[in-house]
Amino acid sequence: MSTSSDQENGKRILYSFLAFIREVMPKITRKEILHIARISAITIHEHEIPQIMAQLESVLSYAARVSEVAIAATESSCIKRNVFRDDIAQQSSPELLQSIEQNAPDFQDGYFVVPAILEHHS
Amino acid sequence: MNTLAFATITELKALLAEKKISSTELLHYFLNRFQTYDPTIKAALELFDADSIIQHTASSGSLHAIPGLIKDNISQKDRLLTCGSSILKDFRAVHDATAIARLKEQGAFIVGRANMDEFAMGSSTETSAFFKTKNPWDHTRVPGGSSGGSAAAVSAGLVPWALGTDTGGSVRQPAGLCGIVGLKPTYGLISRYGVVAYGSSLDQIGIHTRSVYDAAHILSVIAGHDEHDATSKPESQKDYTKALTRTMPTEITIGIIEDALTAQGMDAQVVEAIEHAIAVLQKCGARIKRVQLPELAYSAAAYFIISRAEAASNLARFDGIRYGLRASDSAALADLYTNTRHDGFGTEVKTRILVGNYVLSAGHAQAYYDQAKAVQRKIQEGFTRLFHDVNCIMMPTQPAPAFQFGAYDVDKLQMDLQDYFTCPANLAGIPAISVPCGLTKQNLPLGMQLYGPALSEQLLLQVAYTYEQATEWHMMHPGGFE
Repeated sequence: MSTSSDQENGKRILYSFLAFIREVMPKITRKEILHIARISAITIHEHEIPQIMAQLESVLSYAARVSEVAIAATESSCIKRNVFRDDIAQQSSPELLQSIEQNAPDFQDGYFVVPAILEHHS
Repeated sequence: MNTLAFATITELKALLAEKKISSTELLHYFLNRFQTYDPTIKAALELFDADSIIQHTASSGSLHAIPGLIKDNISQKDRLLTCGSSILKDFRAVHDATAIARLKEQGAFIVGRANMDEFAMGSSTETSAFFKTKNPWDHTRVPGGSSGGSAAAVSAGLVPWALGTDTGGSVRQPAGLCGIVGLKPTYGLISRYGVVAYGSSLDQIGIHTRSVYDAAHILSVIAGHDEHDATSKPESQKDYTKALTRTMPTEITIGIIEDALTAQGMDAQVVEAIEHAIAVLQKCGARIKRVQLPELAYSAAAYFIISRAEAASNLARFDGIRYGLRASDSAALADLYTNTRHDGFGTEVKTRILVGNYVLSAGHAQAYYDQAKAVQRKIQEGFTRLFHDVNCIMMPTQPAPAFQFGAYDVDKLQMDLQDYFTCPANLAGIPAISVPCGLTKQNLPLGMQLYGPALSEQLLLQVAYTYEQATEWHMMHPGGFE
């Protein structure tokens, strides 16, 4: 086991590093969190914002260290190619259709049922 | 010690071949072990009934009647596939993953679904929406993660093998913390068809066993090209057990990454165990060379960004429309999406999606995602450089032994740094194996890793097997499971 003083020392170094990064990095704003939540299609309640903000800042502060070495990186040398296979139409089994229906939250007459997509304005 | 419970696959096959035990007796024996011990360690999310296990598999083959447990993000046709998440709690797989189909073709008995961190996001199996799995060596500690259920079951002698998935270390880290073997093959060696995606460019099915030979055996069954996975390597299936001998390959040089042993937060007992393992490897005939990999210090940061970015994209499909949970009382479609994802995902998953979309969003992608991909290339180059000088690389699996439940509730970043020694293999797409290399004074297992170039599984297994046979760590089992 590492001693508690080792751990304390480790934490001290980490926190001072985080503090340094926070100084050079713009702080994540509340507005930004709500914007990211919107594009992520996740509802965030008011009381959840401080915790999420803290977690995002913590991981992003650590992640920001990539910029220290990335500058010296070369362009990708790997050869990318598409991988194709023949697109052979297969008859879906009634069993597969049944399992799709069984997994669906709401399914009627071969269709997924969803709430209204367009709002009605009179 | 109970010899049947902790028997290797090879030993169980011999008992079956000599008709000392029947396949049904063997199955009931292991199912009974789950009934006895799993209420305590909680490795399995579900145990199947004996009849359906036998019905779902071939009546002969190289793994006939050998029981195994499958992480719950790998599709087993008609079985639940929850990924440890509320959003999929009632979802049933519509097909077998290729790995599962191959195991069934060889007659393996697949006994159930293993607990895991939600969507494989975590290093402790604490983020499972269902329950926490305990480390068989100390029930106040985590088994590691995200494949914690798989590792705990193999460690406690409930099954001789299990499958997990490894995106940043999720097979090797729990293997290390539970004192078993964990193999993450080269990216693309085992088909990902039927595996629920987390970080698609990093994900790979991995294998948990109590011996290196058994890992080679399972790999021989499930590896090899699959046209259903576009990233599958064009490798044909082969027998990885064939070349396993107790002698070190001749003229082999193993690199020791010096930066790893002096990394921040390294437990003194881990360093000691690794130094001892180095001496054993040397005694077995390997040449040891101390090498540098400065890129190691940046791997976890690059991994955080790339994995979260891919997770945000992959998990966009969970919208409450076609399958999975749907939040009730949503008047409009947009509300249905956001409410479903709010109710269905746990905090860790939501945080990773938010981080992922942040690092990909306009204004931040250049600073984070593009830079992380550049660092990934540097890491790949770093390994290529090292593999000019050495045949394989050895380093610890984890910086410290298994930690206690809730240890990182406040400082989540420290939990994420569990990936420090494991995620470089995923970023470089290369294989790595974790084998037991010691026990702490508190009787907690420690693991060491061997890294090799792409498709060097045969070499890694050979070196790991030689090391294993020269030590007794793989024969140590947690107490209380006799």
